[in-house]
Amino acid sequence: MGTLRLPLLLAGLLVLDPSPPAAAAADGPGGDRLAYALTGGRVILAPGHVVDPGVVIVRGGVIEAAGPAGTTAVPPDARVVDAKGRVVHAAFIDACVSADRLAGKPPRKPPDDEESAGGTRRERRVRAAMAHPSPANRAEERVIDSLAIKDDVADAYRRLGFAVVAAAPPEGVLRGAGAIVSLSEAAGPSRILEAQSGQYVVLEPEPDAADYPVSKMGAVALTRQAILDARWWRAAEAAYAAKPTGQARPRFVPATAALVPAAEGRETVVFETGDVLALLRAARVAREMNLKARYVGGGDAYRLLTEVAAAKPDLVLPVAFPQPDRLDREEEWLDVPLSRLRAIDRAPSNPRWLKDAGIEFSLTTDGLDDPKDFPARVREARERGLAQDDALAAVTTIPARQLGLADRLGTIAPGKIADLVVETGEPFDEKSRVAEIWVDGVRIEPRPEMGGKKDEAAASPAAPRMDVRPAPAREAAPVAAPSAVVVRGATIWTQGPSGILENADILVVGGKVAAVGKGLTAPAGAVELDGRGKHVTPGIIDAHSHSAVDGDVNEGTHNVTAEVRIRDVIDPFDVAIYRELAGGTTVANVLHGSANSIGGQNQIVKWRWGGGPDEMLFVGAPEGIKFALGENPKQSNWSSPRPRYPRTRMGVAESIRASFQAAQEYRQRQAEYKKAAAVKGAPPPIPPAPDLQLEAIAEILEGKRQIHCHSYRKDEILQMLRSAEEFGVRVATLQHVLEGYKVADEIARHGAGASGFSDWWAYKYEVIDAIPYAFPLMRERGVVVSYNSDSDELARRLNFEASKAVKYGRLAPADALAFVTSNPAKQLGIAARVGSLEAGKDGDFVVWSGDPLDTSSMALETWIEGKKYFDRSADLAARPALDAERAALVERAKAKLDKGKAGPETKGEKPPAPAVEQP
Amino acid sequence: MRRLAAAALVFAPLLVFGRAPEAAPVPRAFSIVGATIHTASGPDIPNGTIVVRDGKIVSVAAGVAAPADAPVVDGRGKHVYPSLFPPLTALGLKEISAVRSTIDQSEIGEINPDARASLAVNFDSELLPVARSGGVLVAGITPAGGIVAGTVAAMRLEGWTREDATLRDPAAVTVYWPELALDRSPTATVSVKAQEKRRDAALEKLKNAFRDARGYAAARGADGKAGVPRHAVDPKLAALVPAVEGRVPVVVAANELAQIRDAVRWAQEESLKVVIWGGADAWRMADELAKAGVPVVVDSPLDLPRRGDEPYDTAFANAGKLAQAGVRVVFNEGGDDGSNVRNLPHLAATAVTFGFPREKAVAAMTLEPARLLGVGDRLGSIEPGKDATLIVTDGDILDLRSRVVAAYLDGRALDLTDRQKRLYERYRMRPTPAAAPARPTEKP
Repeated sequence: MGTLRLPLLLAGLLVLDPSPPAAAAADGPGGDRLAYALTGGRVILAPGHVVDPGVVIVRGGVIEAAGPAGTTAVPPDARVVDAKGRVVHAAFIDACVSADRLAGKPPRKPPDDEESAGGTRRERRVRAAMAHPSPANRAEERVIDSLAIKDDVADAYRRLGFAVVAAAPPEGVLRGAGAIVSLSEAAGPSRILEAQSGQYVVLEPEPDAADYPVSKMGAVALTRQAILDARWWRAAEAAYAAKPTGQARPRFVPATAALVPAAEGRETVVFETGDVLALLRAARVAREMNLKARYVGGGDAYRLLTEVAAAKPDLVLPVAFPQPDRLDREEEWLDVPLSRLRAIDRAPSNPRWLKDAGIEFSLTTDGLDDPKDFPARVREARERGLAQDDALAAVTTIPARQLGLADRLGTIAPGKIADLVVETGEPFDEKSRVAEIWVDGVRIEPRPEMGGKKDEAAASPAAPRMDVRPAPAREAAPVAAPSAVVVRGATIWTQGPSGILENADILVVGGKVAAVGKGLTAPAGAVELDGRGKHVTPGIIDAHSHSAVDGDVNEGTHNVTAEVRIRDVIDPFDVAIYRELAGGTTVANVLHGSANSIGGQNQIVKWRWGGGPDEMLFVGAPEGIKFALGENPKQSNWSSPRPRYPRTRMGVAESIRASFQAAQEYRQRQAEYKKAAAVKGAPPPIPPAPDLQLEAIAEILEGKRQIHCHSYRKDEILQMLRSAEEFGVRVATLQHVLEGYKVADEIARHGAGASGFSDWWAYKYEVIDAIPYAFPLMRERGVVVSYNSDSDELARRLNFEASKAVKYGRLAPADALAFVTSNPAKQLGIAARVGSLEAGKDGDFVVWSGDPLDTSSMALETWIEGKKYFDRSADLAARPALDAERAALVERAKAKLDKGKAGPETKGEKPPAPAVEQP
Repeated sequence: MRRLAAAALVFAPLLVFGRAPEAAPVPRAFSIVGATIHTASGPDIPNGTIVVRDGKIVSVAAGVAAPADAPVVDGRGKHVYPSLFPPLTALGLKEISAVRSTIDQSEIGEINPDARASLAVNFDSELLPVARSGGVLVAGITPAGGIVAGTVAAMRLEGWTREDATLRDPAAVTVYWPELALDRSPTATVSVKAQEKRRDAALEKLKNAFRDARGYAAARGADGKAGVPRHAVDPKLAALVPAVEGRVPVVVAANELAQIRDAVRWAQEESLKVVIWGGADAWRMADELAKAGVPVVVDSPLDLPRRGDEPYDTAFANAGKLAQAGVRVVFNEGGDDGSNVRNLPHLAATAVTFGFPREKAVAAMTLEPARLLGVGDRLGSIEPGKDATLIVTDGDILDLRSRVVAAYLDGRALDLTDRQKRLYERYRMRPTPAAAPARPTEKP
């Protein structure tokens, strides 16, 4: 690699600037001392600091002086540039422009050619990855080494008023170092302000990734591990340096070494984030890993404004407000989600709302299909209340500070680099044009625009109509959150020792069940519910869910991915949450998929709809991990161009045992190191490398992490139990476990719970022997059993799955309902909090219109910890308003499209005449 | 002991009704006395008597004495229904979804009216006894996929050969309306232009197939007339003729509003008897469908709403809204995978909870599908003269805790054992292993 870099650098830079920079040439010998005086213009020295008329003196590429015309002397040798009628301000800085964009690469678009897309998407990905391996961790790469700035791109940016951009490396998860370059017309290397600036990280897989990671959680795990590796490497290097004799030299890994400054908080990590969930995710990783971070993104931050404000992100904010698509027929509007219609309508207010929330941001062209739309978008933001000075600061002083160049850029002040813009009007004003831009003290006139492209700016209406809106309410929130609530006269299924109580009350105070019984006294202010004729049950618990996962639920690349965490990718916007609440489900065990023998770490959640990702967590619930056996980890049911170990149940079992052994040895190494390091006087040996995968597996062996094992056939179930026993581990739950009834005694004796489907079968070969009597039979043999959903759909009606335990198992009603309440609570280790209605437990309950096992009943209200998250009558009442909102937003979107179409087509508009230079 | 008692409970009803071995001769006559009879064609009859003779229902009435020559089955506390009749299933065509060699559902290519489901039904499928145990003794069986998927047959779910199992073939032609929705996102697999091209080509193929079939029918009809040359046989077009002549319905699988609207318009232009299958968006044009007299086969009451911001109960309430507007609704389960057709009543029950008229629910699982497939004259209701294809349950069929305790196909009592019950019996009897199991294998 190293040998390739230099030629690339030269080739890239030389090829792209074939013509000699005219202005520099004109300077000739001694040009570095030449002085210019811009006079007569309205000079914005800094946002909010205007002198009119003002004078700016430039000498040798640096601002020598600037101030009011009266008090700022023009040096006698200065060439005077008349800026009368013009506005002069510091040139703009964009803190994030992709190197692909700078190189003029068109954005990725779906192909027209259907035939080129042979095979499944996954197969194409794998084939492509085999042909062109593309590592996710490229931290050692520097964007500057391959950076090419196409002339017309540089010109387009200058035309917008930008003189400096931070170039972002375009590929990978850990993408390598960015660079800061000017958009001068000078030869390549002289453009560089900072050859290395910021480690760029995107916590997402490449769109066509076939190798680890292919999931967002995998990208987070990779990043976490890489940072730990860098810290370890530093320590290992030091330990080796102190005592090289007798120790193996720590292996040098360029990506690891390159990450050291970032890992130690000396270099900024720039997280490029797609949406607000990605932003919050990155902020959490930065906090957890103690990183100095900046974030590109937050365009939809208004959706979780409180959470974003709490994270205090240093933001590089896009103005790529979503635009409506032109649709062919009316029915198509039905398929535009309300969330998108709202985003189209609300996003332009985002900058103002962020400002109001106290968040500082720069503005970037990042995310725009065409950077030329930037001024129009900023104008939209201004119409929505972003102050002009704030907008200006967001492209001058703030990005200068973010890039560590506040001493050199961002204002017109003595000593700063002479990056200036001379405009015909106020910045961002619709009619205003950049007449000339000074980059590094060199004046450049924008080229006449080629091709007569439509000028977006000119298409907008002339007079800005101010439309400042208050920040919107949370998209969802509890229906009610009283200090106390009592339901009276209901049939209460306690699922505890009291059984089913007729005509009883339940009182919840401060989120906890205060009492269940007859004639309860409620504190003043308690909400009273008439429960007569109704039934109350504990909130339903789904022991197997994949709801609310942002991105792929499988990091299905490696056979062991114990390091990935569902907790990193909880999506609180997933409407499945609300739908499940509407079916009485309050708690779910959100699991990684079953593509690997040892999958990722699960997260037990409470469906607190409307909350941020952290609010979903069931704090205090045991940690766990997904295991999987059989056809899925051995990849039986699909073809892969690149087969993976294991391909048999033998291999699956062995891969699990081998992982357990590796984790044992990992702990041994750590113990040995601890002992050796404690020896006084001797320099400590090289520490063992941290490994988050083995860490998680070691936690299993230490009993700190529960196994939830996807399994079907009796042989694999038995072997899993035996493997666990060999290592002194108890499997918490066998998931699916549809042949578990064949080894029910063994499961009972081991002490594993069994959680699965009531009556699914025949969907694959390993479930040919699934029977609907399975779970009642296992229960009879002493296994704690539950029914789960594994499905956003089924999770809405788990009570009726329990009914099937009555149908097939002839169980008593409360014993059947236990399958989806108290039993899953026991299995997941959360029974002390949920699963039954007893004094002191969480106030998670459901009010049903009738017997919850009877299909003629429905959930009317769902409460979590004394807050009501679902109410059928409130839901029905809200529908007309939602329909009206949708209709109005569709009309607005259509109007926006019509406006775009009807706007004046300005073809090949010439840039305004440059200011006249006077000798 | 507890275990044994439970087992006895599970199968107790079978003992009451007796197990007729499949080879046993059909009793010439018998009566079911004292049961609640859900006729599907009229009001329920409490404490009713059904007299069956030679495989046909002879009489249905309350408080009628059983004929002296007919053995009496005690139906007290039980409910009798016509067999459930899911009209569009994959039963017999697909055994294990993930095992390709067990699937005969989708023929290659896009226009396959000559793919006839009846030819490939595996009567030894393990799925059929399970379906029968769940009260499904008859079903429509349909090929899947492509544009014209194939020809549907109405079948008994038991038979030595297809010939003795077939009720009606052809019973319908199944069409999958081309996907109209376009993925306009930058992550789409192909561009909007390519998607439009694909869509338009598919629509063209579909419309041409029916136009050609009409022309073919006319040409073949004219064969032998003066000056008319002999026309070559085209099996595909020939298979479409019953549909273009309106002798069998065209079942159009369509969920999106635009699809349904276009399909109905097309069927009107082509004078086809059209049935919408799926119809997730059908409630959005319920009045149009009612006016056009287009029935909807609903198999989505337990589906998620199609769109994120649709009300949570959109799919639950679809059938109810259709019925309210006067649309004929038929419930279906098992279109893609027939392994759980036994849950058909769960779908209907959900629809009832969310607004479908309770009194129409049974007919929508029995008589309506029978009519849809052209066998309403002999199946689907408990009326004199109809086939004695009945199920007996220990509770309301819409309560999913109820069990099917007996079933009669053409008057013959069916053996309701199945793979699942056999496995249950086997493992229920497994002796509990010794407390400390021997570990025959050494630790590796």
